[in-house]
Amino acid sequence: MKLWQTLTNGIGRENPTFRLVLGMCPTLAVTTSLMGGLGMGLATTAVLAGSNLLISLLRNVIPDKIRIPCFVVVIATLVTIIDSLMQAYTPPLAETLGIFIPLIVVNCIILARAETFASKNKLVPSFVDGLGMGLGFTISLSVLGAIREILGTGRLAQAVDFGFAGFKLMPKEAAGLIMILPPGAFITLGLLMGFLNQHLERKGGEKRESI
Amino acid sequence: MREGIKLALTLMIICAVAGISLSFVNNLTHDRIVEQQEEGLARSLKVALPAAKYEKVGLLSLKEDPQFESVEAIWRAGEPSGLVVQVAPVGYNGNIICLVGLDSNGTIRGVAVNQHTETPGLGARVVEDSFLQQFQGKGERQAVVKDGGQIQAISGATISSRALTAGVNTALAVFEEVWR
Amino acid sequence: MNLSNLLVIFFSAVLINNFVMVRFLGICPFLGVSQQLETAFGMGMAVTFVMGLSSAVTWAFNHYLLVPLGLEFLQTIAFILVIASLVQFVEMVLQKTAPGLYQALGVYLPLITTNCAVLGVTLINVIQKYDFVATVVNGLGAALGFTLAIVLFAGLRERLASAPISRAWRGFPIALVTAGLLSIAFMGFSGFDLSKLFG
Repeated sequence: MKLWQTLTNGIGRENPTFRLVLGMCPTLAVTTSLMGGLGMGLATTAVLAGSNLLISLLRNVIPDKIRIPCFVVVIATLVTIIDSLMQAYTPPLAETLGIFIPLIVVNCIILARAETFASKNKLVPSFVDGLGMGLGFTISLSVLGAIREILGTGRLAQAVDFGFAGFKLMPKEAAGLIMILPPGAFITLGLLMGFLNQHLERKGGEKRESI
Repeated sequence: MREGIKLALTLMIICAVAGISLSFVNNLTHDRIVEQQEEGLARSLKVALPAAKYEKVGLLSLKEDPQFESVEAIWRAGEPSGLVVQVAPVGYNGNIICLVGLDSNGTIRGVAVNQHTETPGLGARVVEDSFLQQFQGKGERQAVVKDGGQIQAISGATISSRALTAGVNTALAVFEEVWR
Repeated sequence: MNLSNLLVIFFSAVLINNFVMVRFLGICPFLGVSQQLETAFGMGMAVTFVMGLSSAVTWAFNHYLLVPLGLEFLQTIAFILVIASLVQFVEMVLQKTAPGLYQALGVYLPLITTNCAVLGVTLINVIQKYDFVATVVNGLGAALGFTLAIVLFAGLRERLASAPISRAWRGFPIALVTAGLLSIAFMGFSGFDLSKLFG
């Protein structure tokens, strides 16, 4: 079914983090824990699916010449709504993600999908594309967050504000603090991409383009 | 010309719809957000000095004295009476906003850290109970062991530990100045 | 805000809390426009101009319009629209005055709008409650920090381009690991007590 392909496209073939290399700022900044990555991913998915839906809805109404400013207004509105809702109903998560919630506005994934997909496709496929891309983003961020959290603190799924100290997977002394500091973000992502490319090359043999 | 007007009009309509939906959501969530912030503050005040009521007091005269530069707010507590001081000493990576509660004798009852951007795993550990409890029951100026005092600093986080100690000392100074 | 406060804000933005290496703002252009030293420097200059100007304009917009009318919840949308307009303006100016640079930057120029560092610094200015002068100083400091990071990185990448790297690691993977090492170097600046330097 074509819709299923659209959905899995964002998760695998055109994964925004590892294949399209978009939305790097939040990817590096909030993945100091699994919860951070998951939370950011879900918030972004909400905006992405919503914006794709709205822009697809308005695609015949928005004049081509001013389409970028219109997209930006739609996206910014959705982000502000999500921001307000998070500050009201999930304040600890809002505080962890901090400035990166309003910065979802300039997450290149959203504008890119609006431009390349939502403005040219019908409602349901656009919504599904947004969902797929968002899920791909969420999975990438969660994986990155989990790795950094385990190697950096020895625990997984810490959610201090909900009173959960996480699963202890490794003694704290074995953990490398640098993983949850800025260098850890760059290096982990770089290594993941490199290994992914190696794996794809070995498996492929097709003209799979390394990033 | 007509096309230009049509473009501008479309953009204006979209902005108007956006503005209206945002106002709507803002009305919906604003009160709750303010409530959350007040709840957060109330919780910290209780940790610093459990009391039945708190009354915010003005800083005016203190602001001119450079030793009180990091003081952000003061509350008088009632039942039991005491003082809670909000200080923001400079830590390793920015200010550490903490609330220090003192009872009517000028003895520290509790320290709550509200906000900080210290290094996770190192300076960030100053929020741990095991560190903050060291200040309870003290009535005179404190210092970390390295500086000849009694406070055990967090290993690898001397600057953050020193900062918190400085904040507590400022609160003690405020008490001496303000309490009557 | 006296001079020493401003100097602290400036050097904090450039080195200690470098926008790219520490705050993770502006990563996309940092990775995208850093293959050549010249383009990187040009991008840095364009970003500096936009960030300085956006900081000033958004501060004024916020201070004179949004706050008095109680419309703070419109900050995100208003700021991004201001930035988008300013970038459009810079594009037009560059096209006329520096067509060479305009061509070199290509599609990356309009992308300054989506540079999270630009929107980021305008929001940070508001959160930190800076006055007008501090806002502009912070904006320029942040941009110069961005320029520093991107130029250093471009220098490293030009060397990497001629190094024998296996196909899987060429491009982003090795670039990211290199950026990580650069980030470790920048960590040397944290904990620097600027107040001791500037009193």
